[in-house]
Amino acid sequence: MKFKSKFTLRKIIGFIAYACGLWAWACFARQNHSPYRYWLVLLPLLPIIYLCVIFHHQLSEKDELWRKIITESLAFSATASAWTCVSYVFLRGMGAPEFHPEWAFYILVAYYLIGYFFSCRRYFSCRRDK
Amino acid sequence: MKNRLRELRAAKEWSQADLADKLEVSRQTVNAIETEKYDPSLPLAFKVARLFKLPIEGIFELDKD
Repeated sequence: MKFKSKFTLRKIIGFIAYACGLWAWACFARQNHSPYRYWLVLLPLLPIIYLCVIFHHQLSEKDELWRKIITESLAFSATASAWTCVSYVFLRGMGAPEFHPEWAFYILVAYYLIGYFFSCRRYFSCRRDK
Repeated sequence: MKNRLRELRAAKEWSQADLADKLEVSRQTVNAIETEKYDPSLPLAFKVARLFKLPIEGIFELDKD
């Protein structure tokens, strides 16, 4: 429980920093015409990197079975998403609708949930002894 | 890999949750090991062996095939 609250607090801080960074980026990028304005993208990007580090620490402190399940789900999600994106290149030539970048996020999440379901089914049984 | 974890736990009259607490893992991990759906890591196997005061090969057995 100690770890859970520690990570929860850090994740909340990370998400607030991300939201603030995104808002500041949107405000400054519009008004600023300097050639260096693209560096402002670091404002939301740095909190994302921080959140990834937190997620990695949280994963490494998990119980070994849960770590395996999450790692397997992430591996499935990454592989399946990569192949889906590569397959789209062929479909694009056949007149498939334009691929929006945000779809990649939804595809990743959808494949993660599919991988999580099958991974849990692989390791868990309904039998529970008292 | 076969194991005698369920039998050893029953002999001590511990629940899966009790054993999970002693091994500092989740109850699901204990259940997955007992049902032979998951093979524990070497450190966890050592922990189990130390807890039951048995050698590792006295608890876990490699499948012959």
